[in-house]
Amino acid sequence: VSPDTGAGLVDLRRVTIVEYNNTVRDLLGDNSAPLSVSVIGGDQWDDSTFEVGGAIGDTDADALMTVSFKLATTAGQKLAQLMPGVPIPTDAAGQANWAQQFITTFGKRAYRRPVLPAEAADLFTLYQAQLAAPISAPDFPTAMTAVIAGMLMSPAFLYRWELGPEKPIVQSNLIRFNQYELASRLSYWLWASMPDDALLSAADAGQLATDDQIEQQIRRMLADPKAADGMLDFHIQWLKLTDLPTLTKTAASFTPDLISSMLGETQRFTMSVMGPQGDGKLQTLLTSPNSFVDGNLAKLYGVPNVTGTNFVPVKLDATQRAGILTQGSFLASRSNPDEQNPILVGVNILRRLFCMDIQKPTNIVVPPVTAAAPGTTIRSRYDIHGMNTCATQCHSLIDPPGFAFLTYDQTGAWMATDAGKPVDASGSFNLAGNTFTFKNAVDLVGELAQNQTVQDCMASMQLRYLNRRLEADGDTTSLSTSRKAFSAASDDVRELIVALAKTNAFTARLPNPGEQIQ
Amino acid sequence: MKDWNVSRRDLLKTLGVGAACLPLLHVERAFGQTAPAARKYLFVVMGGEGYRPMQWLPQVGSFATQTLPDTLSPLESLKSDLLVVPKLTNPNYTGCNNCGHGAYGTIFYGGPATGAEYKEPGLMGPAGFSVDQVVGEALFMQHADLKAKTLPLQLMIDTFTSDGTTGAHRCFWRGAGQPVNPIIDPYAAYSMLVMGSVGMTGTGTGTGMGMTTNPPPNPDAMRILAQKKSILDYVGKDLERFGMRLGTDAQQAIQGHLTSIRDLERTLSGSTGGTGGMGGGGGNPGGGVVNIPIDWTKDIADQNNPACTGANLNGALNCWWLNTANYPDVFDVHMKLGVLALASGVTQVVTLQTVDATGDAKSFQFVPGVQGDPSNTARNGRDLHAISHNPIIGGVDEKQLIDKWFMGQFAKLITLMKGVTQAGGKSLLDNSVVLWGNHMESGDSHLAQSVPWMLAGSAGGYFKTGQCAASAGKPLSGVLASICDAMGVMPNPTFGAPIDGLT
Repeated sequence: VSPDTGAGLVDLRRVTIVEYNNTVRDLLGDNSAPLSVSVIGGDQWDDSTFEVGGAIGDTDADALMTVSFKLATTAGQKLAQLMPGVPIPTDAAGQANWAQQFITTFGKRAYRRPVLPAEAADLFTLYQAQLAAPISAPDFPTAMTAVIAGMLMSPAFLYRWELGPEKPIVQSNLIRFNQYELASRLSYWLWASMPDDALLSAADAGQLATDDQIEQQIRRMLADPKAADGMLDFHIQWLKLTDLPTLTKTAASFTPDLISSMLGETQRFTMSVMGPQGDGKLQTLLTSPNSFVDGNLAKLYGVPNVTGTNFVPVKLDATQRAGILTQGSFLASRSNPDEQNPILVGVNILRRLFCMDIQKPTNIVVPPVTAAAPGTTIRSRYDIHGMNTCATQCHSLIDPPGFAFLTYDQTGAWMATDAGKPVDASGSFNLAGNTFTFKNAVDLVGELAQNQTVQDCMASMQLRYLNRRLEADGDTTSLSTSRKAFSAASDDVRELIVALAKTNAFTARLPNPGEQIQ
Repeated sequence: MKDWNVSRRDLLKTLGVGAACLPLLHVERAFGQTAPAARKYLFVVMGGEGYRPMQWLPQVGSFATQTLPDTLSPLESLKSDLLVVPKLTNPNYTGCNNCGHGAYGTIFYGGPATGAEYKEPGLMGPAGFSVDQVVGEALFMQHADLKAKTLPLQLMIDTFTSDGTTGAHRCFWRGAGQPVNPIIDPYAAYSMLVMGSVGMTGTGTGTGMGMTTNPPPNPDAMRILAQKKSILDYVGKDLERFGMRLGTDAQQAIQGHLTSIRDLERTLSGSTGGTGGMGGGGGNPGGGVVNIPIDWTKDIADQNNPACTGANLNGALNCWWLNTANYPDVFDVHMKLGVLALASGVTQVVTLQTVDATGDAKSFQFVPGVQGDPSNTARNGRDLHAISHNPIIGGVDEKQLIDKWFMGQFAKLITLMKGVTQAGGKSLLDNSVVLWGNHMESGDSHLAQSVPWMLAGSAGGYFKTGQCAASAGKPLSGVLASICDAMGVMPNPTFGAPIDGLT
């Protein structure tokens, strides 16, 4: 582990909705994905970072109780699978022993660390309460339902804070994450879910202590099928595709089936690049014409001879498609219901690929874009920014990268003409000491992939996703070390992850204001 | 709230009634008892995008000698219950004067915004309780029979949340980073507060806000209720232990979580199963029968619609309570629910958000004369935001038509509350104050320092209704202080002193 060079804060955070659903799947074998924003308050976000589970208020507590009780009721019917190899006794004393053993073994998986003696005692008291009046549970599974629901309602389960009420490891001005915290930091970073048994065993044995041990785990985890969940979660949040599942468009072709095909493509594509078979390179992610299509996407992209719901690997027309930014998921997410929106595209590229802090104008009344009319192109209606000195300052940066994508419509289909004229997707802008000049999006993404700022930004994005905050002063060394490793590995993102995991940005944090560390 | 589906369906089966005839709710009084001192009630409605001032603003002074302007005309016959409070300032809002959108998150707090976590300068939340929580918390402490501090409702706000930070779609708060997450599905709210939190607890023969038919005793439901109580007991202890060493911010979050668990314990402990479900202890103290039918058919039909339970509701329009075309119907049900919750004594505070900070993505084509743009209802089309900026199209002032439509809803709410008779022949409205808020003067100017508010009901004789107050230039936080004063609770220090001219 690298020497103490500072670190940033890492706050207590509730698991996100995606993390919750993945976690109950891995903990209970329950695939019902019970949490959604129609059940509890949505995750919090802002334009620069990644999602954080919101605070739990009255309505959320009630909803969580309902969800937890339902999950626990289902789990109660398959107790044997939750603690395999230990038969459930039929006598009361034997069952009480089984319950105690369950609390510590299953509890360690639920709390992602050993259950403390005081917690175990309270959970056993909860078990005993089930046997007495007024509950008088009719059978053992019913009694255990309450114990499992109690664990699912526990802060140790709901919050990312595996330290629990224990004393932190203080090392000069920093706090070092303990073994179990490191196990969860790895699993929620790479899998968007809880640690598996191998990670927890490694933590038990103190085998997440050296750079090599952590690297070994990361390589194992990236090769695991669950890495697809983590990759999808990262890329969906990175490019802000979170709204896609419920978007509606004026085009009849834009159906829920097409949306799920788009997400299927993005998941398969990111895994084909970042998974064991891929080269892991940011360049490939941003420029590869290779992708995966089913019948829906074949129609969208004009690929012949693919029908049905199975995805097949294809090479798309390289003059039209290059990498993740030219896929339907991104294009549809960044457009209006009826047409492409170059501002949404441009702002997203600046924020998420260049790590620029772009804010909405708040001190001016933004006039709506002129309504579409026969003969006027989308570009001509947005070009009006060029005539307004106030707007020019921002939009000379925002609009050109957005205009590059005008060759796609609101569903992500190729669009050669607009209002009867050939689409002009060319442009030029200056940023971070570079001039970007391009004919269209395929041109532009090629330049982006080569750009040092874009590559450095990926390191920042990984750090933001890991710690759910912006870069801090204490991250300077961690970032420069991992950026160097990223360049040395020819922008292989997997090597960036390995390098970042060896820095303080992964292994340490600053004490939180007011935290009791002694 | 899809995970209540099963219990809702079970409940319907248990009741042995069809969905369409379920809605008849009764609040029956306990006749012959001495009427307790009248309770007071607060109903806060958050509007948005201001009003077209020329057609809305009455003359300062009594309404007895003036006819209300056109936008307020739906309230003409109710004007003796109305108190217009125009042109309030919002001195702690630091956004520019024509940046009214940014004031949304802090409008019912009155103090400065907080939260470095929110990047948009204007769209922030407050550091403390908004007025509904101040009042709700205090009354909840005072009256042991209340089942909830507030009933927070929203009209489709969460169908479009990608447009800014939390402060752009939450205006009721319990502190920094702790927005009150309102309920979007009316039936979910109904299940939670009216039928009982667990949806199945109503048994026995009690009165209160039960159904016209009392559900038969259900031993499983009783056992589950007791189990849930035992779980909450464990979770409460666990949260206390968990929070011990945390930093200040995290401790606050855990404290908020713990408070929610304690509140839920209290809610469940009220559901003893012998009193006809929730509200059995409260029910319209000393009042008469409340009969406000709600047609749940469409809502119940959509309980298993995947569009209503997606991971993200943005743009989910294929569901009854999320589709803006149904906005008037959902509005109507939410208002009725709110009134029932107050009349039954479940809570004394209801909040209802009708639009978010920007009015984006809400089409008002259901208002006669408003054309909107059917092909482009999100963002750049003629949604409420766009209409506010450019109110007149083809010679029709669409924004004013919408303003007037909203005042029609206000009139409905007042009428509903006047229809509930409480002790001493007073109406629920007499014992209440409705605050119909907004965060800017007019959608085209976005003026943040000239805020048009309205009150209805005198809160038991406290407010002098039937007038337009000389409130120009006075801080809106003073109105929040007046409301606390009227409700008999301590105001937030941030509210300052009550303003003159309202009593």
